[in-house]
Amino acid sequence: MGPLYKMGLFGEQTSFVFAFLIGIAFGFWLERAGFASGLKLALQFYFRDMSVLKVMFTAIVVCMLGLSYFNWMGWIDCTQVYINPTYLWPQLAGGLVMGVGFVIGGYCPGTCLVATATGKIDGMAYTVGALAGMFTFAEVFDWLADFYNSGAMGTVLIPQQFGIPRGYVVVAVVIMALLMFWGAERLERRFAK
Amino acid sequence: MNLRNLSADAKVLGGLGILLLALIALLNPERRDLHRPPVSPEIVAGAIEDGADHVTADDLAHMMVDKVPGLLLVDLRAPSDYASFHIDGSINIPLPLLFSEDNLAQLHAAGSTVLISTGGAHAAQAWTLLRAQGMENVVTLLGGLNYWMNVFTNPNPPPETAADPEVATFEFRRAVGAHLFGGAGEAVAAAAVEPTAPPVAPIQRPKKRGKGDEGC
Repeated sequence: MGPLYKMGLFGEQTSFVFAFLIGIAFGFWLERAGFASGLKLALQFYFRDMSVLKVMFTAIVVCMLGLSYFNWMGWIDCTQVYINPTYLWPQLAGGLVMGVGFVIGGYCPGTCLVATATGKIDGMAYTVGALAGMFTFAEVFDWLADFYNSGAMGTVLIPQQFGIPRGYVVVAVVIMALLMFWGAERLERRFAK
Repeated sequence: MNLRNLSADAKVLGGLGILLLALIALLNPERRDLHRPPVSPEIVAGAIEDGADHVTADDLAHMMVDKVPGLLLVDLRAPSDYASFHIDGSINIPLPLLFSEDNLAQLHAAGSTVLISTGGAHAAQAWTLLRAQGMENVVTLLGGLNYWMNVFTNPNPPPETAADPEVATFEFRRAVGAHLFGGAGEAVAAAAVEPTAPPVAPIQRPKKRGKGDEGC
């Protein structure tokens, strides 16, 4: 049955409407999780508030289990779901840049927009900085193009890459998430003031 | 509601619950779909039915005139045919070589690829294989080079009672024909057999990644 768009249940323009609604919902729930506050986001780096880790891993586990079961029931064809292709080196570098930016600024690209929407000045500064970064990137793109396209591996999935059945990967991720929830709460208690 | 206010028992219960769900998912007999082609035949057939598999000669000419970024024209004929005549700006990848790693990478890197063959049949077959492998942003030139030549070297003049769009199409075809083949764009089909075309250009790898990237 799904993915609905790829199965042709609606056209491109309708898909924009859905994207708009899903985007609003995403922003709303980020805000409700408290992620419009740079202070709260930064506290995780001091192990005093691990909400980000808990929320993100909850989302990953819910989504992963949901897709597994939907695929099993035939409600969605997971082979048709779009997966970002892997470009190893630029993605490693990009992850590092984002992580450093997160530590320095207290936001990630999504949460800075949520903070901006709630009127936080630091969020606005962060958004302007991100836009300036995008502009600069576009301007120097020709110079970076070779690196940008390096390490192309196509669509890489752990089950295919290592020949492990998907079910085992699901169980492993769930166990990892549970251990992280448990560890995160221990850290919170230990570093609480 | 604050997660920290949940009792320890509730957290353990929740954790065991999702672990159980994951273990049940292990029973899912999904191994076979590791070997399925990435795109189901239904989707490929649907794209053909919707006409999403081809562009007409007029469409392609407009794309070339508009200088659509990332446009890659791939001529699938043998190098000797390509050397005797080809659409300006197209590169030659003979059909048997199309699925080599380098050539596929080039197609993946292009914004949109138009496959060109003599009559369109080989291009359509190549399109089906590519689409079934998950390649998007690929289309064929409807009718191939035969139709292309026919449309632009010998456009049918519209009847005098024709509406404006028909006249505009005719004028466009004549102008494109004049640009492509010189002269008034009439009866220069001979260009197809005269080996006047430049030698095979070295394949240039487009720098930019496809614009068709989805997701965030």
